[in-house]
Amino acid sequence: MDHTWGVGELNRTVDRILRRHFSDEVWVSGEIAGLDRPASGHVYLRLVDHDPARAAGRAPEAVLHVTLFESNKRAVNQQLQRAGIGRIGEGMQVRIRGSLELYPAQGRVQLRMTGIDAAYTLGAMAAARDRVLELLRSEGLLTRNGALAVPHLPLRIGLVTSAGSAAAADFLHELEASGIGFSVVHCDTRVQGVGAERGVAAAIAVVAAAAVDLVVVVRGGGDRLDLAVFDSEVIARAIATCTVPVWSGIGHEIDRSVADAVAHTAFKTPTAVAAAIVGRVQAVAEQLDRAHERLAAAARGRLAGSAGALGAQADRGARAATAALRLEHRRLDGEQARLVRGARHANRSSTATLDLAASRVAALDPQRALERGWVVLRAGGRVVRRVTDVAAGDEIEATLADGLLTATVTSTSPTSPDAE
Amino acid sequence: MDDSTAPPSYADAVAELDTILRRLEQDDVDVDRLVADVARAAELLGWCRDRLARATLEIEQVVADLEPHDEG
Repeated sequence: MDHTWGVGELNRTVDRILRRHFSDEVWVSGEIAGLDRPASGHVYLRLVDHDPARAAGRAPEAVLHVTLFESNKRAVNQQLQRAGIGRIGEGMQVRIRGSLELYPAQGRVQLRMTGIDAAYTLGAMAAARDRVLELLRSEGLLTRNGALAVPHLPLRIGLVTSAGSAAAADFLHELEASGIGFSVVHCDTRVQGVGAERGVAAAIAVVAAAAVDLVVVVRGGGDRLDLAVFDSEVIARAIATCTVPVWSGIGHEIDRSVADAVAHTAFKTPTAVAAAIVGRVQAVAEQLDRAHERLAAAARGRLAGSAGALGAQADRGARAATAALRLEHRRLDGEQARLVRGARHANRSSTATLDLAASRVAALDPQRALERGWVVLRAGGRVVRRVTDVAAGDEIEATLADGLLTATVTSTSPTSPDAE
Repeated sequence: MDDSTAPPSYADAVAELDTILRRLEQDDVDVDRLVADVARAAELLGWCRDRLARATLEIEQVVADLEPHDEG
């Protein structure tokens, strides 16, 4: 007859076989598919094979229960913190060490965890990040948001982050301190934990639809697990396909997340994003100020030039007027001289004419003839012009230059036959 | 010179003066007009000098007004 096992007996036997076969600790790798942290301080998690092809909601083919007792927790946490991971969380790919046992009270195999390979987790995260990046690159999404043009004056900002968080406070304070009138559309969303990536992606779409100039995705510092949500494909696609440029400021880490790689521009911190926005607006304002100064200087220069030209024209006008007046004075002087000459000439001319007339008159003066020896004979008061005007015995009167002569004609002798 | 004998303009005065002077410079001087011509010419000359002096003063004033003002 076959042996009939008691439940406890069977469990204890299987446990002994298990321990004998797995006498040393084993390393198991998988994905954390459930995590429980009760008040006892122990940690209970379920490990499954990592299968990206597994549809959401579909049950895994195999599960390993893992317990991390509080006595081992400190060592494990130290390993995680040295790697910058912080602590394990849902969905994380891990390689853990422990001893296998059958827990009789629940009749299941479980791994009593004693250690963790943090490098494996980091490698898995990096590998996952690279996978997402490669996928986006192959679809041309890696640079799509980066190709969008950022407005010169991004004054309306869409903010995606957790309301009340330090990141939100830092970002908004930097904008307010600038004194510039920014308008911020804030869509509150969780930025870590299970399902956070869907919230962030949705928030990006909401603010992008609010006609903002720039979408800003920020979150404060945290460990790798906290920031791991920003390596997700969901957020990366939301950023890559966003119609508005996305600026990111995620954590304080040097390593960039996938979201940083896909965003138009990535900054180290939320404050750095705000400072860059303020700087951009101030640069435009300064450009406008400089352009205004150049315009004013050019206008002043033109005015000065025109004033100078006017001054030169005024000088020209004054000199020309003065020269014209001087010329006119000289001309009048000339006319005056002409007048004097002309008057004298006219005087001389008239005098000369008069003199000529006078000399002609003088020439015609009978006294002159008398002086030259001519005599005027008169008989009976009439001038004797002909021999026949008198006869012998007539009394005649002769006028000479110096007086009168009385004489008697003794005889006459005409010189031509006409005289008969 | 009263308004009735005053020339309409400086240019007219100069033209009339020139006409008189040309007459005086001719040889066949009309003696009856000689005194009147010389008197008229002298009158026109005086009138022109007056106009010129006034124009000089006015222009100097205008030019002085064109000097740039100092802005406070």
